[in-house]
Amino acid sequence: METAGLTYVFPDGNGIKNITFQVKRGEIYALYGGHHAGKSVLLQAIIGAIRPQSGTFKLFGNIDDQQERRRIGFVPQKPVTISSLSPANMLRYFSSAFGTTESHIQDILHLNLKEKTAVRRLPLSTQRLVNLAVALLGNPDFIIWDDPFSGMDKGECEHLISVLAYLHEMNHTTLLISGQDYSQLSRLASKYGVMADGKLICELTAGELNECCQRCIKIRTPQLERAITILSQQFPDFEVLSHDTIRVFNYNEQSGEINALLVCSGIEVSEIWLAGMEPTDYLLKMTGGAKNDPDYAK
Amino acid sequence: MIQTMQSELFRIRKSRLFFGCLVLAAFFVFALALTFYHNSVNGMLSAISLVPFTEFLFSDYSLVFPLTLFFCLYFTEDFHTGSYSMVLSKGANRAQVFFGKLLAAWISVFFFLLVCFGVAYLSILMMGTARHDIEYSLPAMGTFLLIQCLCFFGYTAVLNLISYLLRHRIIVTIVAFFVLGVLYLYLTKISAALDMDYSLYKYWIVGLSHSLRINTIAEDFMPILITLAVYLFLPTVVSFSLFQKLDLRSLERR
Repeated sequence: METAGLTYVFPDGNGIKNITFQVKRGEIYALYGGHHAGKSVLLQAIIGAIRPQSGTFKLFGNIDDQQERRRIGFVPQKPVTISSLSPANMLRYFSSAFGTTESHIQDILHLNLKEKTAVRRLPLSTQRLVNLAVALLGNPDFIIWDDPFSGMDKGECEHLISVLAYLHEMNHTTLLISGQDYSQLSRLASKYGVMADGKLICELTAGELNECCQRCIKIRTPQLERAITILSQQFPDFEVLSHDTIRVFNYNEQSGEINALLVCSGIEVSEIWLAGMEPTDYLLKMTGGAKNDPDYAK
Repeated sequence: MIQTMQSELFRIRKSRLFFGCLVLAAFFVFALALTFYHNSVNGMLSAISLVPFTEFLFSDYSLVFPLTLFFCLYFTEDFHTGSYSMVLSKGANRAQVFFGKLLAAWISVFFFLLVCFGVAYLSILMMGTARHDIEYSLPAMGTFLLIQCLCFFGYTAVLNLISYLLRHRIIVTIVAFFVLGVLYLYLTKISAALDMDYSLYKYWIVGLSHSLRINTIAEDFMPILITLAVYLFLPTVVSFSLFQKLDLRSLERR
C-alpha cells in the first residue's frame, strides 16, 4: 500500500496532513502516536470511510483502490456490534454483505460461535475477536487494525499478539496496526511510522529504532583521529558520528576510564556524556516534542 | 447492492426492535378495527363496509409511530456503531451501500404493512361476518392501499434523509417525532382553522391526510401522482448525494 500526500483536515484543525508512506508486502507496519495524532483518521481514509481532501493512494500497486479492497480486512478501534446479533449471526451478516464465504479462522481465535449472547454484551476482547473474524472473511492479504491493544489486559494482549503473529507467519498477511503502547507494538512491528499533529514525523525500522535508542558514551573532541587510534586498542566497539563526535558502545560503566585514557594521552575531551534512551521514551519524546528536536536522543 | 440488501434484510429479520414495533402496530391496528366495528354497531348499520374501514386505518399514527421509531434507530445504528467502515473496507462502494440499505428498508416496510393489513382485515372480518353483511370494493381498496404503501416508502426515504443529516440517533428520533407532531397540527388543526387548501401538500404524509379519500382518487390522480413522485425521489436523491460526501466514521462522544 502506498499513500501520497493524503490530507483530511477537520474544521477544528485536527486530521491528517500530507501523509506519504508505504507498507510493503509481508511487513508489519505500526503507526505510533498519541491521541489526536491522526492515526485513526489516516486508517479511515485508507479504507474509504472518509474521502481524503487531497492525495492519492495505491493498494497492491493498483491506483483503482476500490477493486483491491476485497483483499483488505479492517478492524476498527471501537468494536462494531450490530443490534442484538450473536457472533455467528454477525459473521453471517457480514459475509452476506461482503459476498464471501465464512472463514474457518474461529479455531485460531478461540471464538465460540454457539454463543447466543449478543456481541455487544460480550467482553471487549471477544468483541474485538469477532471483529477480527469479520475482517478475516475472504482471507484478506492485508489487515488494518486500529489500536488493537487499547483496553485489553495482559493476557488478552498476548492472545492477540499470538493470533497476529500466526496470521503473519502462516498466511503471510501484511499488517498495518496503530497504537500508542510501544511495548505491545514492538512485539510485532517490523517498521514504525511515528505520527504527531496529523503528520508523519518519521519512519523507522525496528533495527533503526533500536540503533537510535542504543545507550552509549558520546565523546566530542577536536582530535578525532588520535582518539580513534587510542580507543581502537581498548574500546574497539565505537562509531564515528561526525568530524568531532564518536560514540562508544558496551562500556557504559567505564566512562571515567575512557575519559582518563584520552586525557592522559593528551587528547582534549570537549564533552563526554551518556546518551541513548528507552525506545518508549524516545518515541514519546518524538511525538511530544517533535517540533523542538526530534534528534534529541541521538 | 444485492449483497448489501440481503445482509440488511437478514439484519432486520434478526432485529427484536422490528418485531416489537410490528407487534405494537398490529395491536394498534386491532384497536382501530375494534373501534370501527364499535362505531358501525352503534350507528345501527346493517352492513360493515371495508371501504371506509380502509380509510379509517390511516386516520391516525397507528402505523407511522412504530415505523418511525424503528427506522430512526435502524438508519442511525451504522453511525453509532461504525459498521460502515467495515463494509466499505471490503470494496463495497457508497452507492451500493446506500441503495442496498434503502431497498431493504422498503421491503421491510412492505412486509410490515402486509402484516398490519392482514391483522386489520382479519379482525374486522372475524368480528363482522357473524352478524353483519360485509361490503367491499377490491379495486378501490387495492388502489388506496397501493398509494398508501408508496407514501410509506416516501416517508421511509424522508426518515433516511433526516438520519443522514443529523446522524445521532436520539436527535434523529426526537426530530422525526417533532416533525410528525407539527405536520399533524399543520394538516389537521391549523389547516382546518385557517381553511387552507394546498392540493399538493395535503396528501403527502402517510396516515395523516384526511383529504386522501378512496372515492376522490380518480379525480385527484395527477396531484397524488406528483406528490408521490416528489415524496419518493426528492429525499432519495438528496440523501444519496449527502451520503456520497458523508464522514462515515463511528460517532465519537466528545
